[in-house]
Amino acid sequence: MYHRIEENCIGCGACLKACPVGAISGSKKEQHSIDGKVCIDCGACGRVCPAAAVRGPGERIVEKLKKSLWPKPHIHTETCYACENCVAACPSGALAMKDESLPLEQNCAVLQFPEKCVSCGWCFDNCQFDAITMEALSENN
Amino acid sequence: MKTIKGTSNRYLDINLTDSTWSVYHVSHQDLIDFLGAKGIALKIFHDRFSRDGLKAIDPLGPDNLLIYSMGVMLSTGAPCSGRFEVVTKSPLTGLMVGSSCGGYFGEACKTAGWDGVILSGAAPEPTVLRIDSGGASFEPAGALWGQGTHEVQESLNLSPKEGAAVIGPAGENKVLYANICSGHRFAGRGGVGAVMGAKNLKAIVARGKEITYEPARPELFDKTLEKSKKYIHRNGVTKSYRLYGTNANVRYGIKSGFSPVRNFRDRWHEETEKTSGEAMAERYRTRHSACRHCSVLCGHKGHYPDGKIRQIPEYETIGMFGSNIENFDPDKIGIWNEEMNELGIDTISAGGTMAWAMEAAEKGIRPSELKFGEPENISSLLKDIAYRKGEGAELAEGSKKLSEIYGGTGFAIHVKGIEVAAYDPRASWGHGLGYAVHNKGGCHLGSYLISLEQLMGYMPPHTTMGKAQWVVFMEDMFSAVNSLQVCLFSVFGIMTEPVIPKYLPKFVLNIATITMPKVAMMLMDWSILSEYFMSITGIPLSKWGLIRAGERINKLERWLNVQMGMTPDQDTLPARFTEERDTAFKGKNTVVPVKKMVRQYYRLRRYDNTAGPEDREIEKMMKRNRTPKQVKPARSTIKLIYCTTVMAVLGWFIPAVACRKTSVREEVRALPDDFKLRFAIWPSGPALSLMRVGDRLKKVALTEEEADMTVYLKSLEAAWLLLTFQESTCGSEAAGRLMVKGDLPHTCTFIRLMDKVEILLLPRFLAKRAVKKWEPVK
Repeated sequence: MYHRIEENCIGCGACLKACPVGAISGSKKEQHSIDGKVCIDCGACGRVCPAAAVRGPGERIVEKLKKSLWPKPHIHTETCYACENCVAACPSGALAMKDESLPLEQNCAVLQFPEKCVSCGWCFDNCQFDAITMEALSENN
Repeated sequence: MKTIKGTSNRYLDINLTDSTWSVYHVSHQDLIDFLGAKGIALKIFHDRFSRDGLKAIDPLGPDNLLIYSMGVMLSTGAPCSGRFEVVTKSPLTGLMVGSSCGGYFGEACKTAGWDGVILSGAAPEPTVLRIDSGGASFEPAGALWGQGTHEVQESLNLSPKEGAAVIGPAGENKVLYANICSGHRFAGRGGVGAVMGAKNLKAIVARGKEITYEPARPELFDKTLEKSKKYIHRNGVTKSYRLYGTNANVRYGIKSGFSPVRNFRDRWHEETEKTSGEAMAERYRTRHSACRHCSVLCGHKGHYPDGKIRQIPEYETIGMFGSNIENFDPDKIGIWNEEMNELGIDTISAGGTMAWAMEAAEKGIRPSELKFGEPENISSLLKDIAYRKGEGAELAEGSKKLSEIYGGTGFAIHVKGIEVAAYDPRASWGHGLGYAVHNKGGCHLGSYLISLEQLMGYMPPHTTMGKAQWVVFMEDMFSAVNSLQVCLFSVFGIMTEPVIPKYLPKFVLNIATITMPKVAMMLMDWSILSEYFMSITGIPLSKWGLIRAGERINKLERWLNVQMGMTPDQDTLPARFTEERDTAFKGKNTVVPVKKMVRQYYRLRRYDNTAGPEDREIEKMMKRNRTPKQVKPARSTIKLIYCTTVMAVLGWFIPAVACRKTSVREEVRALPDDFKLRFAIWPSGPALSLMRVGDRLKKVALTEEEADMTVYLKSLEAAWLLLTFQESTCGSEAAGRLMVKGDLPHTCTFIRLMDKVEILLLPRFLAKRAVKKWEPVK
């Protein structure tokens, strides 16, 4: 499954920059398109689209959302077992392990590069320990 | 996004010879009988080959099948469920082999909508197979041929949605114990990689995330999930595996003498401690490196002194390349492990074959560069094995074939051709029986009784009492588990953490497990596994039903093995374990009385002199539930009285329900005015007649001629089945036990009416048996 760009695309190129896997192609001021084979359904393209031209796999238009309000993984350090499955699953490389010098039991995953996070939720899906919740942080946080 | 309830039941059936594919649909009945992954794959083998055909399959020829099979658990997100099974005829043993792997290929294939991939034929040139929801496509492998397992996965440039199953140079060169790699996990045993190499297939790439699956009964699934997470987390085995990986077993091995030392000659060595999980965790500052969806976290990686991060070898690799060849430097084992992974060689068989070559050289049977305690040339020899060069060309054949050429079968530590894993069975007799009778050969995961005998201490190890029962039970359990596909390591938690086994004093369990095996089994609880199957597929299955399904799978595999040429004398252990008592171990030195236990095992399994189940049993298994129960017309006074009573009750109850329940009233309205309906047992049994009066039904007395429609049950026995709720009304109709005089639509109305009446009249558990689908009646 994948997202699609509709005809009302204005060709601004915002989605092109937002896509973490390089699935979008298209030239300026022309309709862009998404390569379904690569698209990971994170919906980042839709959330940055000023023309509301991206349709998700559920046939709904993805709404624009300010980047600071995108839900991000909140990792609960006390329940994290440092299995690294979320780090391995993250398609944009936003997660990393806290500190390699820590003993195994004290280590945990952290959102090292919040700016890279595209709110795809893959880390959440891959956590077996319920240590990740997707939370939208307000601007003050 | 497309969502499938339960599982897709679709296998991609690929012929590599002419690059074509079709879809194979797994029938509902097969899913009920064989559960999925391993079971279904074996069933496919059974269906596709004649009896002589099975024997004639050349494992490395185009007629062999290589089946990747996914199971119902994958992609549900349940703990330890990220696994798939590879099933084929093994080139190492010439018998069936199933190998489980935790790589991402499984999930990618499953979420592309395929429950499995059946590969037949052989590609004319090195090929890469690509799979997506639309089907399969074929590409020439080109420069990928010759690359190592991780190298090729890099070169394939996999997107986050893609997973691959690949082979290394060992598979390409058909080393008889080559493995298949997915991510950093392996389907290791039995030479599945050589079969893939013989098919000229370098890699299969699946692109998933196209289809999602949801359980048929989400509430039950969530409840089961929560329970199993809780059990797995608090289990002792989980805790030690989480910290030290499977290498936590090393210290147990030192203590109880199951370490393999110098080709299993000695059971103990003072330096083994250097390769223990605890020592390595400290030395390498280990980190987790697990399969997806894992809760146990046995896989580790670590920082090696040369600055590289490597996978920490599993216990079996540590044993086979550590104490078994008299090497106690864990750094070296780590490096060899990495090399073998890259080449795609099974570490257990490689280690076993090398240890045999060392002992053979020592005894002067066969000249070799290899020597115990001198590990310098191992690295180069591993490469030679993978490329079949020099001495490696011979070692690539495994210890069984070598010992048959040169002699020295007494110390060739294999069963049925597969080298025995790093647990000496003299410390654990039940585990020895497990090696001897396991369909795959000397694999430790056939019944893994050492976990109960030594690791968890639930069973005295040095007795033959109850061992056959437990091996049968655990084999059935693990066959079922490999067909659902959850990780075997999660089963310990699931089985032993429920209240009774957890809090019962261990000495009580120790006595019970050997004197009253059945009772001890009942004390354990694995209903989580059957509840998983039930909640995902919606097919009812009890915990003993799961074991029976496991038994079917295990017996089918055994039957296939017998057709492939397995003989009873192969169900044994190497002479070293049955004759050589004295070792360096200071504790109890014994030999395994394997013959006695195998006899007990055969008796329990009801195997005949072919060492397998009778053909009749397999035929019965294949026809199970396909033909309804046969009954003969007979006259029994008790049954007549019972049926008369039930008919009388129905005669009172149906009109009463018809005026109170709206949905029943609607059914009545579907009948014409003054419609006369008669329900009777043929030829002269009790009868019940009803007539529509307005919106109601009224009980009347009618003869056959007066009625507009008569539904007959063909005999008293048929009535007995229906009225004792052994069979539903539609089941009865389907089995041809109902005879109708009148219009078909009215018959359907009658059947619906009966269903509703049964739901209202009976307690829920009975009503569920009596009707096709239980739902509340409005």
